[in-house]
Amino acid sequence: MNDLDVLESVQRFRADVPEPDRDHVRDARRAFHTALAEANARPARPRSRPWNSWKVRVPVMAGAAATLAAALAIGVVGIPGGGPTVNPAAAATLNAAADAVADEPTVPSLQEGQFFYVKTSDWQPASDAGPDAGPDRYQPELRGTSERWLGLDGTLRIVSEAGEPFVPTDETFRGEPLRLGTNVGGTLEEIAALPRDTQQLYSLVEQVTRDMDNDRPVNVQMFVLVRDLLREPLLPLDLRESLYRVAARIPGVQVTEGVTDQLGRTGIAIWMVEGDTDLREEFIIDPGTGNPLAERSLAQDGSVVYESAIIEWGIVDSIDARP
Amino acid sequence: MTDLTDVGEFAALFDEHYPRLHRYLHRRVGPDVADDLAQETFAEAIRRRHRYDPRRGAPGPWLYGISHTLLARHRRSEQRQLMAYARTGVDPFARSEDDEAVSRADASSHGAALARALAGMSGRDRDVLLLFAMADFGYAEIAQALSMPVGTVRSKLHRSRRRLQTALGPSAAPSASFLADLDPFPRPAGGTPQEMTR
Repeated sequence: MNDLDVLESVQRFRADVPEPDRDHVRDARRAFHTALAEANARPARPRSRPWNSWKVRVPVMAGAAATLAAALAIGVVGIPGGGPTVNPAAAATLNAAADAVADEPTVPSLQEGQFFYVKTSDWQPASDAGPDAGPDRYQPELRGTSERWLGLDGTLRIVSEAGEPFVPTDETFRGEPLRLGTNVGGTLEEIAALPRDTQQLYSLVEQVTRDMDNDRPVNVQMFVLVRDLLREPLLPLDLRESLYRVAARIPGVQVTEGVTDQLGRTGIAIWMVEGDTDLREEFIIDPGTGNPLAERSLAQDGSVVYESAIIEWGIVDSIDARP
Repeated sequence: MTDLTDVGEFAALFDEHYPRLHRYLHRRVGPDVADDLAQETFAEAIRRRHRYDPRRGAPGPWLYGISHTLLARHRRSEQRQLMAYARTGVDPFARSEDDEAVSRADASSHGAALARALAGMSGRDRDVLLLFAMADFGYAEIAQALSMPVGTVRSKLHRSRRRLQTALGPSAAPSASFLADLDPFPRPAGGTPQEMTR
């Protein structure tokens, strides 16, 4: 049975189940509108922002950070009770990346009326040549390119060409303040409030991770959290430097040198065995600057299945400008 | 851009999504639980409507995300009914004797084997697969609904497909057309490029 048959089997599973009938929907709609009217009669609760919890924890973590610092000073840290340890080679590479960031010239902060600009491209598998094909098994091909402009006032413009054949889109959104980083992204103020001291930042990341209380091991979730920030090309350089030093201390982080992305750029891949997936997620950086280059998913045989690359970014003076 | 603090837009959300969401839940946990879950989903959506951020994605995946948080409480019962289907060859949610007869006939083909395979998956893997196959969600929509990176969505689908191939029949190399069909580039509307391109 090939993949298409597998998909069709799942699609056919209980496919005879209908949508609810009109009477059911009418009754449900009535209950919904009653509940909505009652809710609108009450004052709205303010929207919670995920990084508020980070700001509260910073002073609380000072004592814990001092305790952790004593353990970290040993240089090799393990998870209590056993498990992965810090890879000295990976730690050395990540600290070198932090040093490279420290040498980068300071980037001016975003001013009113200016925009952050980022251009990315995405590759997806064109075919599967089978397990004997080696690294070229999936032959990723370009599936889209996207540009975005983000302003301090929350303006977000996305211009992209994607799909097969390419379909152009151009959309502008307005509303929430600018937020950097995926999933647990923070506003510029929240990002600025994060500690730059490595010990404090490590403790904060660990505490936020433990509070998430999900199924992932702590070290894996810590790495995911750090990577979610590091992948943001517009991150302040001092925070990027600190995050690389934090990553250097997370047990289980691995690096592979001399990897080449879809654009032919050579960098270092940072990754971890996440345990619950078949694909290895690699985050590729430029070792000379510490800047993010790309991310990719690899099959177990090392063949690249998916990739996305950051092509260009910077600060521009208008929503249509490019660096 | 959808503003769920606007009563009209929120009401439109109900009209657009309730029937399909109910059908999806019915296919997973049966009609009675689907009634409760669909109602609870929109009740919870009302409570959270001011926290919906359209920049992070369309309202549909947000809604299904709420639904899956509620669905998590029914994982064991979902697993039990799938195993019952696998053992007996009769779908416990069959609505009539005719449906039961069809189920029995189907037991020798794929229905019971598929039920067993689905029961053997982790809850999260099942959520990803069924959102993809039953709710026609793309990778970015699944990632938004389940609050996981797109890369994790791809990995879980990759693993689930391999397991189902093993469970349902002899494995074969995936066809090129299948890979093209299953890798739609995520729609740009309502999603950030970072989420789109991962």
